[in-house]
Amino acid sequence: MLKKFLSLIVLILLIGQVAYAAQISSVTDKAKVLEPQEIEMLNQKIRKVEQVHKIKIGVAFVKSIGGRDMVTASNDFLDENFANGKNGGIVLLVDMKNRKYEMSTNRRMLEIITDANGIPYLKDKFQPSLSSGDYAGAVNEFVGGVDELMAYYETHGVPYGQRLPGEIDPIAAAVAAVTAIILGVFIRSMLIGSMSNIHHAVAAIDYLKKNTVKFTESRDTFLFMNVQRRPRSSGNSRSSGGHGGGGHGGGGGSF
Amino acid sequence: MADSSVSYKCPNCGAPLSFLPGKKTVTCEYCGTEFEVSAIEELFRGKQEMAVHAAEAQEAKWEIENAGSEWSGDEAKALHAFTCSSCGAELVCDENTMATECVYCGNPTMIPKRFDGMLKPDYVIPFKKTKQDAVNALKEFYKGHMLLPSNFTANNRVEAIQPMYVPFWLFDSKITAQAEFRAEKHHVITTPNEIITEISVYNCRRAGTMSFERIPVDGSKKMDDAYMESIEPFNYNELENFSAAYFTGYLADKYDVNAETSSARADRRVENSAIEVLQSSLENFDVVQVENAAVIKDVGKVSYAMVPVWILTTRYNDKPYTFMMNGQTGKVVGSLPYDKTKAVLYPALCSLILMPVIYFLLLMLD
Repeated sequence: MLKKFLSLIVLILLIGQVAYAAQISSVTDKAKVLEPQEIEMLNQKIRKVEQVHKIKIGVAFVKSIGGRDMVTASNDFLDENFANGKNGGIVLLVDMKNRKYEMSTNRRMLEIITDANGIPYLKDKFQPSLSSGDYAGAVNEFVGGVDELMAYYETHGVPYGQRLPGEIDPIAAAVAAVTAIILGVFIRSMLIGSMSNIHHAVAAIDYLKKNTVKFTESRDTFLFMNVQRRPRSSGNSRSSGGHGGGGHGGGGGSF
Repeated sequence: MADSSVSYKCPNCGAPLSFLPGKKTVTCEYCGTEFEVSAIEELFRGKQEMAVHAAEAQEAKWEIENAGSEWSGDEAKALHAFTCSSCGAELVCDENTMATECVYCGNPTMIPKRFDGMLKPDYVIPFKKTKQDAVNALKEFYKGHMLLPSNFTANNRVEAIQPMYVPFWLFDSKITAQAEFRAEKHHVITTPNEIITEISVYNCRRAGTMSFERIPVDGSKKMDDAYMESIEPFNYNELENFSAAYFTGYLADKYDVNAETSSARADRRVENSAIEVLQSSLENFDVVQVENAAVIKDVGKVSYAMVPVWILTTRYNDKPYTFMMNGQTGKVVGSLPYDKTKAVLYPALCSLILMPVIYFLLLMLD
């Protein structure tokens, strides 16, 4: 009986170990740029942020991604390992050979860390450290930035960079004010103009006998042709294919 | 002394006769007898001829009497005295009066010399609108003007309402017009990357003949040209051959701007419209500009007509306001004063309402 009980415990432990082995750690350092202690410290920090915001964060340093595209590689890295966070997932992939990095967000995270404002905010946070070779510092700042952007969203209800509900957009307000004043001046001249219906008659078309109009000459001579070319406005730049398609967001750069 | 004016009196009861607006006959308002216009004309022809001679005799006398008097030469020339055939009072009229009312007995009075011979109008458009119609139309005209001062309707005293036959020249002209236009056809091609607009430029020549009929131009210096052009149009189907009988009970002036001088205004309007007609044949072009044009009058004919106008003079804050109504169609024209506070307040309110609307529209478009 005891034997059976022990073997069951061993089995449970084994299954647990296998499951743990299948789970990739938050920080992957295939390029060997981080110390083990640094990895451990960063993993702890990431775990804490993940738990607070119910998200998934992944960071990978690789020697090279080979011939693959950074956007596709980062999207795949996200989809395969970090896409199951309740409030979304974000990854940072760093290619040490080409000195390039790429962030990728999934559909849910894209609504919180936007390509327009959130991603540039993160870039500004960690890119200087990345360029100076402080890779652990860069990851720390990346995670810290994600934490701040999540906290901003949770506090304000809107992604970082977007107007808060009730906040006035100064440019739209100025345009509205100027347009309303111009319309007001136009309305004023219309109202004043309507006070009189005295006008000089300039035409005699009411007195034309229509059946007497006879054209004696009607000649059209083609002179020349002008061609004007105008580039089409890129109205489709905001399509779903913004970061490799599949509802991904993100952005990257060189360091 | 023979009368130099003629009063149209009822042959039945002797009361003054009036031409009532909208009627085909001349009616005695006292005994109700109706007379055909032609019958009245026949009846008073003899009296009119006598009045012409009497006026000529008086005119000569007037000039002699006034030589060296306190009247200036110009005043004496402009003012003429006639005797009222009803009460014998001396009526002083200006040189253009054809029909008036005796200031003493109120009798409608004609000065036949003023529509004699070459001065006789060809046509008349009889009054169709009454004095009450004119008052009602003016009240209606005040409505719907947001900037009208609040106390205007209450404090606006109607000083005078006068029905007047205004002399008009009606110009007929047959013209030949030529014009050269620069015209553009636009063809837009859209490719995935750009919008290409091909603009084909043409030189278009057009020439043609056309006729205009009865362009009205007033022949009175007293009447403001813009007012007279604003009361158009007239329904020429109701144009009648002239008879002085239509004047009874109304004021009437003979022309003091001759047809030759007035024709310039008609010619200008004909030119504009002739070019417009030629240009209308270029509808299949997107942009059309007139390069040069020439309009030659082939045949020009003019007739002299008397046109009915109600003149309403009102006073508000010691300032006179004149309104005119087309006595045939009832169209009222005039300029109303506006309240300066309202003229600032209302547009400002509109701006204030529009501002948030535009703001939210901009945010929605963003």
